[in-house]
Amino acid sequence: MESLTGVLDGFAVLATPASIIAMVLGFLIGTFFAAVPGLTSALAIALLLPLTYSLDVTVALVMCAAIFMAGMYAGSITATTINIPGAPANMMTSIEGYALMKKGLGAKALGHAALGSMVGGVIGALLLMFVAPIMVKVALLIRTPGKFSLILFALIVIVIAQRKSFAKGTIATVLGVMIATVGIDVMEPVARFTFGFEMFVEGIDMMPLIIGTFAISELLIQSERNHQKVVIVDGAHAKIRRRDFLPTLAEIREIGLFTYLKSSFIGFLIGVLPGAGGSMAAFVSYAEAMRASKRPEKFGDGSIEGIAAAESANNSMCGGAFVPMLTFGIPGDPTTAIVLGVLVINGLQPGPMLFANQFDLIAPMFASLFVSALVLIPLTLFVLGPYFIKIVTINKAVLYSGIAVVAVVGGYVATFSIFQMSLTLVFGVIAYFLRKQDYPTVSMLLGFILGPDLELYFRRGLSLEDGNPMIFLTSPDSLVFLVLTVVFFYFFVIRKPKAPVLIKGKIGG
Amino acid sequence: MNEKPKAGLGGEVVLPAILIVVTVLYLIEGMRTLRPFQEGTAGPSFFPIVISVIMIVALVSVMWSAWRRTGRKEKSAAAALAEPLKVVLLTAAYIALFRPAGYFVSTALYVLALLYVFRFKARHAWVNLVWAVVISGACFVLFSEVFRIRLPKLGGII
Repeated sequence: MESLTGVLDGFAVLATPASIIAMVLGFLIGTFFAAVPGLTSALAIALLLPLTYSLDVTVALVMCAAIFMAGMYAGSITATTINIPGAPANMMTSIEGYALMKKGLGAKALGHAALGSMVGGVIGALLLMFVAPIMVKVALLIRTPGKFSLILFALIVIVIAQRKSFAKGTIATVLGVMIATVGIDVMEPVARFTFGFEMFVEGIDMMPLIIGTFAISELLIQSERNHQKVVIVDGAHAKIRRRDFLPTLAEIREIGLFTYLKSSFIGFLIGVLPGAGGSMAAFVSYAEAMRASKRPEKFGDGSIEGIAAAESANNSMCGGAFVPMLTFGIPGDPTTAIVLGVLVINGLQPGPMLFANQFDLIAPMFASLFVSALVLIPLTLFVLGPYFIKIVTINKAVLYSGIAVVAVVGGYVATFSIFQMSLTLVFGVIAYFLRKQDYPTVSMLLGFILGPDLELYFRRGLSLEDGNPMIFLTSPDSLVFLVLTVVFFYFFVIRKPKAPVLIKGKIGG
Repeated sequence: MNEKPKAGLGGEVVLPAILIVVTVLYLIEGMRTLRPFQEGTAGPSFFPIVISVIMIVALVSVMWSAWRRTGRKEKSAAAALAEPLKVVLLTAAYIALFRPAGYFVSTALYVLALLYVFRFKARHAWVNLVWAVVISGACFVLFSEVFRIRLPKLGGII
């Protein structure tokens, strides 16, 4: 009851002019960044991060939530119109949406993508409002050894969820943990790994790492491709009219309410899983929708059911991804990892105390997720829909030059330090080479964020039993997470699951 | 971040090799300056030693896998690296100039150079200059006017 009142208060705060402006602006920024191939909502929030110093934390979080929701939805625009998913989460939408686009039914595909995103986003936000306060109570039950095992479990699941080489994921994660160890020790007042340089005593700030990893590395990657142009193929030039966006009742019946609900729940649950993200949510829901469909033959040839399932799931994932981040401090995906940065920068510590004492600061963010999905997704489609195709024709040189300035200056404004600004470039170069060799840089970021807590709980756990590591096996909560880690490792690394042949073929083709 | 870049420069071996060197230096620094055990339990260097060992094992595993994939030729990445290298050098120069030259001058020069790197096709050279001023000005308004962040000025003026 108390949390319900808090959520309602969050809606009241969202109704203030500053919050509404932040939400709408955030949604437009998120739409733009997700619609332009190569840019992501995570990059948008990373660029926004330095500016959150000057923003009220509630307004900053409202903006982040709107960017996140818009980012998940808007990737379907280029996925449908030019067959280039704005984000990996829109891969399945591009299969079905572009097939419809070629038939001259692009507006219908965009309409169903928006409807699915709206339903999924709303359900995900509602589930977040109800599930997060319950999860916080669970978080209170976990003791020190359990906290170590939970973070270890999360880091390993994140590596597995990136679906890259396990060894490379481990390297990226450990590299992030190593960077986090620079500076004052987590338990004692001694400086570590300064290599004789005074500026390392204070440690490495999160800001240069985030901006370097997401913005500078992207800039370097894009500089390699600056000769490449977006090719808009036949069929994509068809004029899009607003009335064509509206899905008919018969089409919605054909998809079925159960498909929307089931996909949204799948998306939410996958969002709760650390590191899984929107692409896995969309993929699993799409596969499930195809398995359960009465018309599976339509999949791959413009199935509105496939679009609805994938988009409901990836937008519902937004709500789910916030659950582990807000309750345990474990981000569910790259975007929430950066939102965690916004919290930390503003002195907010995720966990039970955040819900008990500062719920008023995060409740407007829940409301922003809900309103963005319910109101802004359909509104944006109706108002801007006919112009979506123009987004991809924006001049890349101008765009990336602007991004470069915002990113590099962003590295400066956090601490007004040229050293931190230089670190932005250094981390950008490191992330660039890691990405070139297919190392998951998200794991590096999460290793950096979770590393200090991993070490803290590890050492505290050991000190509880005079250095005896058996405490991690004898403590029930710790044992549960260690067993889960082993189970995940066995089923997803040793016995790798195979994608259904039909879906694999379609992705490949 | 949604497209997978291609590998290059024999990087499958070079990158882990560099990371092994970094990890060994990290390990030496940790063991040289800190104690792994303290009063019967883990000290400040215990955890870093553990993760260093994990890192080295994982790096060796990646290098071993790369060596085993014989016959697979990697593309020379020298050409591919030229453009990113230009961006890195320009950004380093921008950072070095940021305080002495002030925000506006350094940013306008940086943007102008980036427009050339990103092959901005303007009919006249002065159009690039206009865009450089416009982008620098827009970012100045964002940082300085909207978010009230103090940026360095050349001679305290611009």
